[in-house]
Amino acid sequence: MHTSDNPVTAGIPGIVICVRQGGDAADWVTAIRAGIEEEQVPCRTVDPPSGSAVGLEMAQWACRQSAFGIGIGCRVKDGIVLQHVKLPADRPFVRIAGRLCNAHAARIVGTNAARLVKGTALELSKDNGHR
Amino acid sequence: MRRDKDIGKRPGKKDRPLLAAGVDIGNATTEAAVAVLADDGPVYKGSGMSQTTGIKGTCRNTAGIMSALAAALTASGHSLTDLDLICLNDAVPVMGDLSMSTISETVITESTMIGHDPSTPGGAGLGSGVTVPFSHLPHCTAAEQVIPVIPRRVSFEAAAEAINTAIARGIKVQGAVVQNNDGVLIANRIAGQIPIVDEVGRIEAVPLHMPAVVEVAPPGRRISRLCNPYGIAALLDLSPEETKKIAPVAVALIGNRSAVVIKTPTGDIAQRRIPAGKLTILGRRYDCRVDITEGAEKMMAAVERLQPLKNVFGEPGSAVGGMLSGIRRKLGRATGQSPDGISVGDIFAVDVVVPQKIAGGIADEIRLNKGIALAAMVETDKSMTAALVRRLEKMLPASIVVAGLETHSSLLGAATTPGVDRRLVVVDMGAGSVDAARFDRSGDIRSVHLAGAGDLTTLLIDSRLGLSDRGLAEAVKKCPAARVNDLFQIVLEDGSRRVFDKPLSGRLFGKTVLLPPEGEMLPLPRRIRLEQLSAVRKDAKKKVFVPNVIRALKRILPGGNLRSIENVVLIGGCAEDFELPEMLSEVLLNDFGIICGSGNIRGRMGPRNAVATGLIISFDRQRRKKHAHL
Repeated sequence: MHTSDNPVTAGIPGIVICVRQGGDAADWVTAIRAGIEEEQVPCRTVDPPSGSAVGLEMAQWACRQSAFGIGIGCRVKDGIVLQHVKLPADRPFVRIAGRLCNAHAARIVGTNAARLVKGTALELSKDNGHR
Repeated sequence: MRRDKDIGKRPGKKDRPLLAAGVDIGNATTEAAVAVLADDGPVYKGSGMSQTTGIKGTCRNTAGIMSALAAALTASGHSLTDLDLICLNDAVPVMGDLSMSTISETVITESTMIGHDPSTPGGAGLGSGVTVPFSHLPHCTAAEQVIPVIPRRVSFEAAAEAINTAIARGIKVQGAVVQNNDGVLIANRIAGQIPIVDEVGRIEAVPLHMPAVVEVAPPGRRISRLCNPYGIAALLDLSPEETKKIAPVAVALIGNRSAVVIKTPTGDIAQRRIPAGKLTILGRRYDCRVDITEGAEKMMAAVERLQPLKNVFGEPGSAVGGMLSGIRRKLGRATGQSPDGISVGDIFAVDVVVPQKIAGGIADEIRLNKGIALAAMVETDKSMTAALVRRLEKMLPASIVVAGLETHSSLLGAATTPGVDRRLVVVDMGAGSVDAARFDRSGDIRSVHLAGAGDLTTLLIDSRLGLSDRGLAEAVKKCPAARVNDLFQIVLEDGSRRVFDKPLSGRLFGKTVLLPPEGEMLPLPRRIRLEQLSAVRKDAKKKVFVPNVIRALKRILPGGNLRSIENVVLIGGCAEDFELPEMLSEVLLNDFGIICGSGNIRGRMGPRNAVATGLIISFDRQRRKKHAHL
């Protein structure tokens, strides 16, 4: 299942990012990973459960794979979804539509995913899609 | 003003008992009680409360009075037209106000330090070298010890690559100062470990080509070298004279996880002392001058020694002079008196520590500066009540009666608490003052009004936590707090947890929050820790109320002997506080053997409504006495 693990963090509990390999969401994933790394929380990426999975399903799948219960789904068409395993499947913690996604927004999603793990205050702004 | 004898003689109202309201105007709250004056005593129908409008005792109070009355009348099923009379206090004798000023200030004349706590600095350790612009890094020569200063436009990948290239060329990169929140990202991508301080807002203000030292402590630790003046001296090769100059920098950096100190030729950081001034306290027999810098304790000792006070003046042109004249001006404006004619009857001072942004800092550095908070009590012109009565009479169909002294009413009201005896001692803790009253052996009332109560506590909390938001500080004072460190649970002040079935908002996550009795949790700025908030809140209450309640009791007891009484009933808004009555109980019982507890007016109102209730009782007694004579 592991496709592009950070060599340092492979095999240890972390935030899971679900993204299709070779897809065009690669820039967002780089930014998300930077946000998580700056907070010093491990992360890994996994493939989606099926070829037809949408962003919400990918995030749901990812958070179930994460020992921290925190997962991120990333698909250009659906944008970025940050999900916590205890939240209802249809009401993710953060959902940013594809047209609003950019490297800055993706980095903040990464930062906040890591801060959910650490229990520290989040970076909030009107446009970063928080519930 | 209508006379007593006219009351109840209005057409159509003869055949039913009088409907009376007692109205108590406090510094923060106006309270009302409505009762039917039946043959066998008042039958209470309802009570109401509203925020006081304007300064206590002035005509602007009418709006607050009207809304408190409306609430009490609604609760009792009556309307304003049913009301026969309204009982007010006899003249509001005292008013309080407060002010605060810092007496020291930290100023950097040229940037010499960066001492802030970015959430995630990069790397760890200590490095010293010369600050260089990032673009200059490729031009540095081998063996040169440098600290690159990296602006926002440089990505972490580019920064790491350039540092790695420089290291490969033999340049000794000792650390880095970064504007973006990229410290860890850069540290993870370079060969070897160097300290990196990030999130430096005003990176353009960092002096370049100057000797500097960077220190980053590992997670959970604090810096150890840059907060020691001799540590800095060794690293930057300072002379004893220069070390003396750098000492305030070291002190300002204590407790940080990361810091940068830069040696500039003319740089200086100073803890400037603002001339705090002297306070002249005039007693009936002696006068005394106290220097504010000697602290609140010395000042309060002088105030107690000179009791009763005739007046208090601050040295013109000094911090304390400004504070006192500000209080006089404000009260003068409100009462229509000349500020010079207002005399200060009591003054209460508390030492405070105020977090202030350092002038000339680079990354919003904060330094704790000393300050002093003052509450003053002034005697007001008695004619103000008459003006208020005239205004109310024009607005209302009911008669307005001045039914007794506030202290007398508070004693009568507090006496309705189940379980208290007639020799009760009452301490009324309001927003502006702490008042104490008791009946002496001859039945006369001994009472005192002292400056400094709920509002001063709020001011202390506001300044110590650096909130600059009086409303939020008031909420901090009144509500227990918790920390949200999970989407579904909070940790309370005692360490216990409360679990929720719905996720908490991201707005609250990772923050210290207040838990109001009703409504949503209130988040505080992210830098405020739960333990810190809890300690500041308790300390503020203790600093204001413990000395003031003891001071008040001493003044009304024979020989100032607190051991001559056994019980104290606490009333007023602050007696409703969730922790203050217990705090006072502990001190009074342990130190003086006094049992104290919050009153429960009429057995159901808690410590509120004592004066409003007492006013009705007072009027009813006077009325009966008059009838008995007829």
